[in-house]
Amino acid sequence: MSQCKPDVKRRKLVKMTAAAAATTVLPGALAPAFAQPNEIKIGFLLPLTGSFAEAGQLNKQAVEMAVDEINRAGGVKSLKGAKITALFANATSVDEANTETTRLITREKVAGIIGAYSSGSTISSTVIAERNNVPYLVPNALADEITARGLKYVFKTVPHFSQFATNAAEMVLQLSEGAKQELKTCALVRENNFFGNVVGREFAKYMPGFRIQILKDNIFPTNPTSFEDVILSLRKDNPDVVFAAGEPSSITLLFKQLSELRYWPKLGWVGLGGGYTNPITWGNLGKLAEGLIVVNDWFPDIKLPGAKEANERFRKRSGKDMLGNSNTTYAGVHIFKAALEKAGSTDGPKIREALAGLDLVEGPQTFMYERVKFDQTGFMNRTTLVGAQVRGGQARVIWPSALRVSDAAWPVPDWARRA
Amino acid sequence: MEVILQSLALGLLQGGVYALVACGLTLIYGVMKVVNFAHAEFLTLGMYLAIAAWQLAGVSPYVSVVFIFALACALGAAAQALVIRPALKHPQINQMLITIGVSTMLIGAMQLAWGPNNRVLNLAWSGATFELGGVRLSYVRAIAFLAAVLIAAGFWLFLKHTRTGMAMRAASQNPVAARLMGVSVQRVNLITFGVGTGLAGLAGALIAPAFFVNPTFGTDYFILAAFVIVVLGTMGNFVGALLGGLIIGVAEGLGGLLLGPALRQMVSLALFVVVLLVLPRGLFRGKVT
Repeated sequence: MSQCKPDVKRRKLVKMTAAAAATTVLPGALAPAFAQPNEIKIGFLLPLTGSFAEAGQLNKQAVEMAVDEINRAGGVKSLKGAKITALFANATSVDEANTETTRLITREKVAGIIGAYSSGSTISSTVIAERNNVPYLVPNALADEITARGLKYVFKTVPHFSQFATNAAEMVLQLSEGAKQELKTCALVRENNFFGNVVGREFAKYMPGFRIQILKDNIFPTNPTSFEDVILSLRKDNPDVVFAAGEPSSITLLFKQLSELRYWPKLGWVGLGGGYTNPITWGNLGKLAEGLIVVNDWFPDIKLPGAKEANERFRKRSGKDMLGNSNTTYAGVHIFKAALEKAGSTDGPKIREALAGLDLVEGPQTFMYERVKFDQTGFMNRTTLVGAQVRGGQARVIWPSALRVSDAAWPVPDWARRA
Repeated sequence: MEVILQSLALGLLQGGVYALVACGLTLIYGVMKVVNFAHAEFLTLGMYLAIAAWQLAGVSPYVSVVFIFALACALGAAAQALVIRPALKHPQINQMLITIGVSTMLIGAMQLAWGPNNRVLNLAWSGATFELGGVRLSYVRAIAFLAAVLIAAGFWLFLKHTRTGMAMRAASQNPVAARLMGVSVQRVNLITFGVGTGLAGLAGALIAPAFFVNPTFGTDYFILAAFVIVVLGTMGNFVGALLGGLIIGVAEGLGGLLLGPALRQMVSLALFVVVLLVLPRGLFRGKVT
């Protein structure tokens, strides 16, 4: 080649460039055609198999949607349009999460880790990332202690477990104040499983601070065949409001029997997280779900720009609503990308500094976060859970008032006063 | 006191539902000495068929129950002829494993056909109730309770007074002697297994409006209770199954109310252990009729 005439070489070069451009579909890929292979690896820890596989797979699709959007829009511009490559690792247990975190860091040399869905896996694997100075973003595990251990490289974008108690209490108190109703007592109806026990613990801890008395903590076993004992004891205790947690199956049976026995709490029934915020549950309950108030981190029907659109894009991909942390995981990828953009480097400490100093009010994540800013502990302390009321099989956000799309019916009409 | 009374009434109805589910199981064990682990899946299948009949053709479960019973009978008889009969001469553990295999296949087939998520049968009157002495009761459960009573009484009379019933009892007590007396044990077994699974399908159709269904519903929710009831009421005894169901239903209801729902099963299972300590062969001391 070195013997060739310079002009021939140039012509060949032009042809090669044209060919490269023709085979490249993405316009952003034109610029780095001659550069080094330019990619930024991010590790994603998710339960891709096992009992949380359904959620894990939905979270994976949310990651892919965000990565596709970022790469199609030209990658990370401050890093010469580098593309993001998502490396998925299966994390069905604490051990697996630890092993995979080590592998992602030492073998794959990832710029950061996002995960790990279950709180146990997250609490343990974040320590490994911290030791290696690799930033770790947590958009889907809720335990308070994740950011309560003084770790410098851990950033959490989802609300804490304790907020299921504190935000729910704030919500019912504000709704009751608005409706000039007195709210002094509550009862819990929760399944004897991990999330149910978290709810029991957090409510016992925080309700006294809100001057709400827990009359009874009704714990029911997994796969109950009847809720009659729970309902009879609720009727006896007569609480102002019921806070509940459970799986879609038990909720279906519970509501069938609530309507059979014609029991409804004085003010309303508030379902927390998981099964209560699953659209399949609302569909199965049909008219029985009317008026039910549900609490989670986000709902598509919320007063935030782009919320419905983001949900539609996700529905096209997965056939499901963007709930169950696929929303927070999707937003988390965009937040991490913003930090990469700001850092202009794939160096762990630099990305960490960028995340710590992040203050975003624009960007794709505004479909659920009005402002992204971490506190000293690495927690996005502005995040709040939101309350929605089921109407016609759809959950419409009613609290906090800044995000509401409709006013709450409160007290929620009992069975006799419903159509 | 009023709450206790109400809990008692509701527990009785729930016990009726349990007994209805346990009827077919006790029949198959009583006559063939086969522990049918696929029983729960025929219950689940009955529920799915009732939902399908309603959603596709608008047929009420109280009409489709006849066809569902017949279909479950036919399916059960086919299963008996194809996979259980060849194993009857072999150790009981083989038959158990075969019924577990049938159960796994049925769960897989139902998941293929209807998917893994919950389905429900929401009729306009699914949640309809009536008041009896100040206690609110649901029609669906009351009908299931009534069906359990009728089936238990009917089969008790059938086994005691009809030729086929007597042949069944003979085949159960001593298959060799029965064969020598001219009873076709093979035919008796076919009928028994068919009717047993048919009763599971029937129970499924009758309880469908009060519950929801997914492919493992029967196994997750009813099989343990059904086995406890069958053993409690003496294996093979219909009146025992009814009585056992009512005892477990009331024990769970009152136990849950007094000690909290998390300890509900502890009460019913502790009662079960006590009864078996005193009467190791069940309430009827091993007698089938």
